Amino acid sequence: MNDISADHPKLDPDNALRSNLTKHLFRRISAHNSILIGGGVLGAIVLMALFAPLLAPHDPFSQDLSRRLLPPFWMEDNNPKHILGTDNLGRDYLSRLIYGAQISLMIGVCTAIISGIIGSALGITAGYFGGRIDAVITFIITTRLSMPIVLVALAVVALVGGSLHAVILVLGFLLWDRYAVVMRSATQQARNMDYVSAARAIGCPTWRVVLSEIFPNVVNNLIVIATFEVAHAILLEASLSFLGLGVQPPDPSWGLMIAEGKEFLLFDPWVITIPGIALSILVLAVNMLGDGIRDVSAPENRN
Amino acid sequence: MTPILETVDLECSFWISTGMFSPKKTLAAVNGVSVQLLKGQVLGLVGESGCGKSTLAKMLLGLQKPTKGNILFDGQPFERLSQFERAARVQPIFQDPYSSLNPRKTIFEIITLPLSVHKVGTSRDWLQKAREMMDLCGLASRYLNSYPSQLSGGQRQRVAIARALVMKPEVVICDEPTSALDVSVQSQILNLLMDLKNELGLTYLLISHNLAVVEHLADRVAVMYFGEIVENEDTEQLFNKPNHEYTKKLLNSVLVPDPSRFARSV
Repeated sequence: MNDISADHPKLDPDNALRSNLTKHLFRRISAHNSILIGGGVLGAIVLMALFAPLLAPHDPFSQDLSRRLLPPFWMEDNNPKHILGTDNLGRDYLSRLIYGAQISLMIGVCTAIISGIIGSALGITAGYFGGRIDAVITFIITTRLSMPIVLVALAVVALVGGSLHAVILVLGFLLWDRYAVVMRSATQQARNMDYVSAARAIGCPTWRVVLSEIFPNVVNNLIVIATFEVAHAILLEASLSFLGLGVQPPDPSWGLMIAEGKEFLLFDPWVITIPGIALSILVLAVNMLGDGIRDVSAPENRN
Repeated sequence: MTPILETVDLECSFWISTGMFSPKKTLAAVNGVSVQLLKGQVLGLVGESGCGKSTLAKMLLGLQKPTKGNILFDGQPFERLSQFERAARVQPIFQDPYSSLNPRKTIFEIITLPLSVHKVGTSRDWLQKAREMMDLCGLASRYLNSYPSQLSGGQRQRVAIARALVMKPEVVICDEPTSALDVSVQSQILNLLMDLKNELGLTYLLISHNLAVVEHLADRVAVMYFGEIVENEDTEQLFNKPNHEYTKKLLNSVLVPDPSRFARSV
């Protein structure tokens, strides 16, 4: 016995446990392909959006009508100055794509934050208090679910005028339903745990029970839904922009680029293909990341 | 001697909806229960599942409002105390140590939660206090920064006990404190509970359906059946000469280690 402990004189079990836990989490993340791929691609797009002024080869707004609709590099007659070609007003397509990432990401993230706050507040309230409060909030959720999102968003944006802020606010106030539903059921589960009863028996005020006992145990659901809602919002913005009621020209949003390209679809399909691929990759990356986070955080009591 | 905790005709009923058009029915989970906990004693509460034991415990903890009747603490009505004052005097130990500890908090945070809620002392005192309580409950203080998932069931139950006792309550409601644990750990926890009782002068309400445990630990035993107390006797009296039919059935339902020997002795 003594020999064994003499071999490890500086073993501190406390620190060992902690670092094991962090290491364990890192190992789980690094062994998870979809987190790595999704997170990597998303990180690259975020960096691209952040450093857009440095990366973009041209001004995304400057027009040159003599160079309209130059084809991208894989086609004949391409111009090496414009790797992805130019749009119908002669603006560099790559630069517009890079700047467009800013807008798509901003809409995705801001919408997910606004709707996340609304949805989780409603969901946690309904789940924790139950009874009449739950009935009222469930009714609100069902009402919201019965509204067609695109139609309502179109109507509101048409009323107040399309702009980036309007799109973010409208989508933020429309996309909270999934948060509310999931947070409600997660809270209902957590509420019945004995540690909640223990906290109440200790004399914890309700706000503290909710914030420090329940919230940390349901927050991983929130993160997972948030990633999916980011993707959802980006796609909805694209549809709104495509319909002409989202981001207004000349701002470059990926949805708007698709919309502007639809007239040239027949002879220059790459005008739609390029932003379409970018949009798909972004949404796919966000979804993969969300999927991965769910997998890593799912086994309860693991960390 | 006045009982430290007493219930007088305590009643708790729930409304059950049986459909949109039929009238609501009431279900009396606890029906006219009067029990007394004497200071320094252990009152065992036994009965089948669903007979209202846990509802009674919840009312004594202030987690459930009684629909009728009174709870007296040291002779004063319980409602007059705030949840804060109640919490300092009555604390629970729950059945399942896997659900009674918040998985996202460290052992230190769990044990000192009562101190931080009641704003007792400074955070430096808390560390001292947490070490003291862990020592008292037989937990190595190196687990201070661990999470519950890193502890075994018995260790978790010790954490739950430390949390219950950190405010120095007078009464502890043990709601089946050992039924979720391994048999080998059960006796350790029970011995710990008894040691702590003698050391700190605690009073226990011990809810259990393990009759052997109750016989071993309790000074008095109350038998609960369909929300009512059918028998409330000294332990020895109750186990040797049960009066009520239900108590007899309950005692007969216990498996004995060697039935042939048991038959001979009777």
